[in-house]
Amino acid sequence: MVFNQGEHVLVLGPSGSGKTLLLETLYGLRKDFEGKIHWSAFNMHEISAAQLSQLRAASVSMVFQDMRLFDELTVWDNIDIKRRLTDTVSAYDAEQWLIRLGMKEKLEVPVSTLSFGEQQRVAIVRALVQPFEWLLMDEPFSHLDFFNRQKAISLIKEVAEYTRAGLMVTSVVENEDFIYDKKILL
Amino acid sequence: MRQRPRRILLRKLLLRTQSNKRLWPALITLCAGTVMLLCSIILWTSFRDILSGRYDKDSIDGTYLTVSKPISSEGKITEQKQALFTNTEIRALGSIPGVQDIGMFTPGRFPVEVSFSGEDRSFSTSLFIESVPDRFIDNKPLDWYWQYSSNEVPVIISTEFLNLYNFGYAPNEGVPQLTRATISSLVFKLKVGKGEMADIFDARVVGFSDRISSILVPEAFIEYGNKKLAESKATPPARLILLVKDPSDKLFTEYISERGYVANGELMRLSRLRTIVSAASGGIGLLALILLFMSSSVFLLFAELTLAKAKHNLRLLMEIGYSPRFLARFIYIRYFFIVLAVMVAAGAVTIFLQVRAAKAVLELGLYISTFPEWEVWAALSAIAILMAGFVYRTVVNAVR
Repeated sequence: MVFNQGEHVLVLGPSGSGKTLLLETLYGLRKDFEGKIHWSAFNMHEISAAQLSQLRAASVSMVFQDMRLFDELTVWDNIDIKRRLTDTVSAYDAEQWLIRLGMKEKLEVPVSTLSFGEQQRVAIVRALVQPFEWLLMDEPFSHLDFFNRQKAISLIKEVAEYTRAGLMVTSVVENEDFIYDKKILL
Repeated sequence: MRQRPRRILLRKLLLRTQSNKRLWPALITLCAGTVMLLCSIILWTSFRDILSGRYDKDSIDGTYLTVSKPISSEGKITEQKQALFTNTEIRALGSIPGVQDIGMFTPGRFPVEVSFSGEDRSFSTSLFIESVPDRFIDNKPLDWYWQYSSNEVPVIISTEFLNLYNFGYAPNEGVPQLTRATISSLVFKLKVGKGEMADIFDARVVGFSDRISSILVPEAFIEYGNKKLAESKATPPARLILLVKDPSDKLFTEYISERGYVANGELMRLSRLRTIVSAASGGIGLLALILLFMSSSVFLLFAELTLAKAKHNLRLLMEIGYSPRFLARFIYIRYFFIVLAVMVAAGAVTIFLQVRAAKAVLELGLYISTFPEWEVWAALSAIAILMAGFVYRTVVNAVR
């Protein structure tokens, strides 16, 4: 199976079907798989720790289902620690993206005090503040209401179009808001 | 938006710990253990320096030893010859490893009388004079020479003689004590020889020796006197002066004691102390090593604990793109500087102690370096490198 740059892929399947496993494997978090996965020149079976961090910092970004934010940091610091890794997105843009997702009043608040929906929005912006050719999103809108989902999808599409990046989204149900080129059923 | 430096954020995520109260005692103990080990080395090197006279500018003992034979039965003329050194004995002494030079005392074999006439006091006494090769004289004065046509004879006397006069004779007899400068300004009459053959010279004390207990004149003067005025035949020397590399060397001390020779008392006592000092510095060193082992274990345990607590954040940072190498370097630098600070503190305390020790022993008339020797710095560097190595291993294991 080949995914090309700029494609939008929907991974659909019921709970427990292996959607998260697929994305984690693609992201290099798991190596217990058979077959071969290649990200351009990188073979995911043989990739070194240094190459993997290079891949994650500059080519592939991910929104985790369980968010994986730093509880002891504020909303802004969670974004900034990722942003400073490559310094390719300005602090102003990152702040504006958070504001677009309704986080203006929460920038200096520790993420541990946020609701799941708010944490999900922080996780989405964090995934955007780096250069990427592919954005993997594991049920990224599961805690968002309709309006916030619209805002998040709009922001993601805007950034992805600008960088001509591919998107891969997992979901348990068909998502009308996410227009895709390919669909993988698990 | 308030920007916080990335290192602050990373420190918050990786190096924040609730157990700083445990870190301080560990660091203080690490510092104390290091200082203790360095002190044991200082004790060892200082004693070595005292014995070798390395920093002894006045050479109270130095590596110079005066050796004589014991007088077994006082006053018996028949036994006098036994107190003299034969050529074979001198050669044997010179061949002991560590004996770098050997010189003989040449006594004047002619009558000597010294007199002084002051405004309110005058005296006259007979005495003896000797010479030693110039290279054995400490603080040799510039005017230390005599030639046949010269009417003034320079004299060096032992500091002990001056002390005996100032602290023994003068207070007892109610006469003024004399400084070195006062004595040096006096001109004595020195009469050598008897009757018609006698010559009279002006004599002036030009120096004081801490090394040689005698009244010394230049070799040329003794040669002249012995040639012209000698009343007896040349005899072998009764005293020898030795330049010894390490007077506490077992081979040397055993040779001296087996033959019953008498060497400078204080120095030989110091030599015997060497065994005790070696044992003491060894004991302190061993204790210091145990202390170092325990404190470094606690410190490394602290680092491991901190990194174990940060394991979740460490993994998460790698998941969002931070490289293990970058994170390991970030953590390592922090611990490296802690170790470096402890070592610098230990070095500073050691320098302070060395300076204080040098001042303290100076009051006792002993000389040691005022700055730690290279052995101390080598040990400090070795501890720092070892600690840095252990910390590196701990960090790499945690980040792997």
